[in-house]
Amino acid sequence: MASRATRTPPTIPARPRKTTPPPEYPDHIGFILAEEDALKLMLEECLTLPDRTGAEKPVRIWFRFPDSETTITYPYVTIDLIGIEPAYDLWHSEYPLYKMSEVEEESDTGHVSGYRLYDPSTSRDIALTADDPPGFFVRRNYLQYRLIFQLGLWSNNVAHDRIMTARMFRDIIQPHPSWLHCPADGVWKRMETLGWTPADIPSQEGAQKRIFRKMFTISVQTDLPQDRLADLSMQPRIQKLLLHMWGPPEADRTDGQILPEDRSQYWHTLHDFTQEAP
Amino acid sequence: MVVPSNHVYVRGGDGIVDAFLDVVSQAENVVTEAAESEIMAHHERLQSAAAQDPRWSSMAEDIQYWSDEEGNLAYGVPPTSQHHEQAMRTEYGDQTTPPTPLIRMGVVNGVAQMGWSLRQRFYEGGF
Repeated sequence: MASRATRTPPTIPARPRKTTPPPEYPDHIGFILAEEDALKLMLEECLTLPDRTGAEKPVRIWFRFPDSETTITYPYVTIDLIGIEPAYDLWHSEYPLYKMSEVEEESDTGHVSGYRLYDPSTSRDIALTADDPPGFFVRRNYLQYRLIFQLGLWSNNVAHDRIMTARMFRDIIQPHPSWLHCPADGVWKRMETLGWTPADIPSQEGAQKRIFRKMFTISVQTDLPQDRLADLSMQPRIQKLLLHMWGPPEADRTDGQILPEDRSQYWHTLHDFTQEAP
Repeated sequence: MVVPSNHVYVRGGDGIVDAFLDVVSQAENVVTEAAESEIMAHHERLQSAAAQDPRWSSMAEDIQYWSDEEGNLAYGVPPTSQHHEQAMRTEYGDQTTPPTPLIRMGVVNGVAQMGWSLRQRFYEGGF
C-alpha cells in the first residue's frame, strides 16, 4: 500500500524520462509507467561504480535489453516488468477518502507538514475548483497491487559484479522494507526483494569469457483507485433539513395528506445549513 | 508436570496444559496437511501451465520441488536436470529473449493461495 502517512520527499525531481517520449506516450504518466520511471530514476541516482581511477561513474539503466543499434557498454542494469498481482492480502475494508485524507509527516521528526489526497501514479494531489463546496469530494479507498520487476545486473568483470551486487543489497533495495519515491504522485512505495539469483552466461566472444549477470526479483507496491475521477459529479448541496408535519385534526386533509396550499406552514426546519459559517 | 517448590501450585493444571498441547498438536496437523496438499496442487497447476506454454513445454516434466543444501524448500528445474540451463534462460531471459517468469510468478501466486487455504482449513478445523 502506498503509505498513508507519507514521508515528505526531500526535493521532487524533475520528470525522470530524459528522452523525447514517443507520440503515443500519455500526458500524465500513470499506472506502471510512473513506477517504472521512479525505479529507473532511483537506480540512475543511486547506483554508481568506480572506474580505473576510483572515480564513481553512474551505471546505465535500460528498460529491457538495449536496442541492437546501441553500443553495449558494460556494466548496465535492465528493468523488466514481469508481473502485476492484486495484493488481496491487503484488501481488508472499504473506507472513504477525502481530499485531505493523506497526512504528510516529516520522516525524521514525525511533524505533520500538510494534508492532501494523491491520485495514484498520476498526481500529488487532486485539485478542486474554488466553488466546490466543502466535503462534496469523496472517493472509495484505493486497492493495492504489486508490480513484479526483474532487475538484471550485467557486467563483464568480477569486481564490478560483486560491488554492484553488494550495493544493491546494502544500499538500494534495502532489507525489508525498502521505499521507492514515486515523483508522479509524491508517495513512497514499498519495495520487497523476492529473490536473487546468479545467472552468468558465456559472452559472445566464446565460453572462455563470461558475462556476469545477477537477477533481482523485486515487488513495488502501488494502488489503483476504485473510482474514476471522470465519473465524479457534484451532488446537490443540502440547504435545509425539513420535517413534513401533519396538520391539526381540523385541517382540511385528504386521506391524511396535507393539501398543497397548506404545505408551507407544515414544514418544520430541523436544520438550516445556510446559517452555518462557511 | 514438575512444579518447582517455590512456585504456587495450581491443582488441575496438568489438565489445562494437556488441553493446550492437544490444541497445538491439532493445529500443527492442520498446517502440515494443508501445506502438503497445497504444494501438491500448486505443483500440478504449474506443470499443467508449463505443458501448455510452448517455451516451457519441453521442461514441464522437469519442474520439481526439493530441499536445497541449506534445507530450504526449492522449486523449479533442479541444477541436476539437463534442462537447467535452458530453464534459467527461459525464466530470466537473455539479450534476445524476454524473461518468461513461470516459476517465480507461480510461486508468488502459490504463496497467496496457500495463505487462503490455510485460513480455510483453520476455519473448517474449528480454530
